Amino acid sequence: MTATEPRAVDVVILKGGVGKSTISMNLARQLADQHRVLFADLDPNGHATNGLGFEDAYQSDVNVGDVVLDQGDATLDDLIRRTEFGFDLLPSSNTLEDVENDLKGAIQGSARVKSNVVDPLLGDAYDYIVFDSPAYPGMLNNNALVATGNVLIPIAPGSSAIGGYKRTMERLIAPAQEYIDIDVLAVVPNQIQDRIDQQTEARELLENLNTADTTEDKVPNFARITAEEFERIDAGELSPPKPGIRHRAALSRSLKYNQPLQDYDPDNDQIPHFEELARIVEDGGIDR
Amino acid sequence: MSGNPFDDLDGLDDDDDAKEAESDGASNDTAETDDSPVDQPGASADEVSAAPASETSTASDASGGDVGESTAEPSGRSDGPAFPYDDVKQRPLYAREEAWNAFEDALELDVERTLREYDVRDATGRELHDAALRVAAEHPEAIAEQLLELRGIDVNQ
Repeated sequence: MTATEPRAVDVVILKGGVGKSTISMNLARQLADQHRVLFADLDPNGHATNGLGFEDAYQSDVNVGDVVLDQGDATLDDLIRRTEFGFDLLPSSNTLEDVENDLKGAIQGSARVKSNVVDPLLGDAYDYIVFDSPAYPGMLNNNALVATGNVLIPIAPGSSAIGGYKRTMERLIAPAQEYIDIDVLAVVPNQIQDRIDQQTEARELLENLNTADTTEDKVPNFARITAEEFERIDAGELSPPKPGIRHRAALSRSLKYNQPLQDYDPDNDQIPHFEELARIVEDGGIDR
Repeated sequence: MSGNPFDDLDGLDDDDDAKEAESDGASNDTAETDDSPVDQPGASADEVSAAPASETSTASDASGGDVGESTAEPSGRSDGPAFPYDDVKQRPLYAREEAWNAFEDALELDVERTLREYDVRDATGRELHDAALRVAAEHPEAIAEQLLELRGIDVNQ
């Protein structure tokens, strides 16, 4: 293994139900095979925190808001939990929506997670920090973006997820880029079910991501299909591949059983895709 | 909406300036993402804001505004699971593979679809199993009939 360059990454899209928690948690799990990893759940819905079985932490009086807002004596050590899966968890909290409001009034409120969480930990206690962000715009999302400078954007077939992608670029990433660098490491197709040799929503999503100048370099290899390959598929010369990340019952089910996919269903055919996402985060981008 | 939400970064320390200079090259390609590829397909964002309710997901998709978005997940549902993990006890259930698959498919495909109509997207395994057992307990005659049927006994005799 070559020297690790520490990196924080934000898994974000301004749309619910696209798979942020699933992707971020499984990404953390795969990175943890070789690195020290913190999974930071900044989504007030606590889907990942509860999914990993940390309901007590989610409901605890002491929470990430105390550290971020410099309230009380709580330290990061008090908050961070060890999971069984090789990574540590900075749990979400049922009071995070209040923290959202308090951050609005705080000085440099957009940089609190950077200064109070990521800067003290990244490269020191952890090699990688993976954030699961809220599905709506606000200070928590701004904080995750400022703290990481790297994003991974999940996207699913259908116009509403595509709208979420556009909102993410226009309302979150573009304004932030006026002040800081934001690298889009990858745009990750998720919940793919349909065939791609017919005009399905999956086909539309994959063809557009794979052929547009702004995104074709951002599509992971597991979803990469060139324009020429699409032509050959349509001509019947190439049997249609099954690009990821595909809809798998085990994937959505695993969180209900408090486990990453790797642990819930080690033979699942989508696991290599999460391994590729881990390599993308390690490399700081896609290697073709 | 007024101003850039990141304006509070204006006075941020040199750290970031250094970082900015360092990775300047990388920022160029992401800066162009405004005219994103997803502009091109028929189902573009314009369509999304015009007729967003076409998806069953949540009505709050419709607003496209900050407030609407913020309610995308939390609204209309309770604060997470109905009871904590500590309340449950794991017990074995003995069943054939096909019965398990049918059970899990029913939870996955039918039950969750209904839950989503109420904006509940985070049902835990324990809640689903607890609810399933309660339903079973309320329908003992159906259980008996199923068992008899599996043994080949005609219950209508």
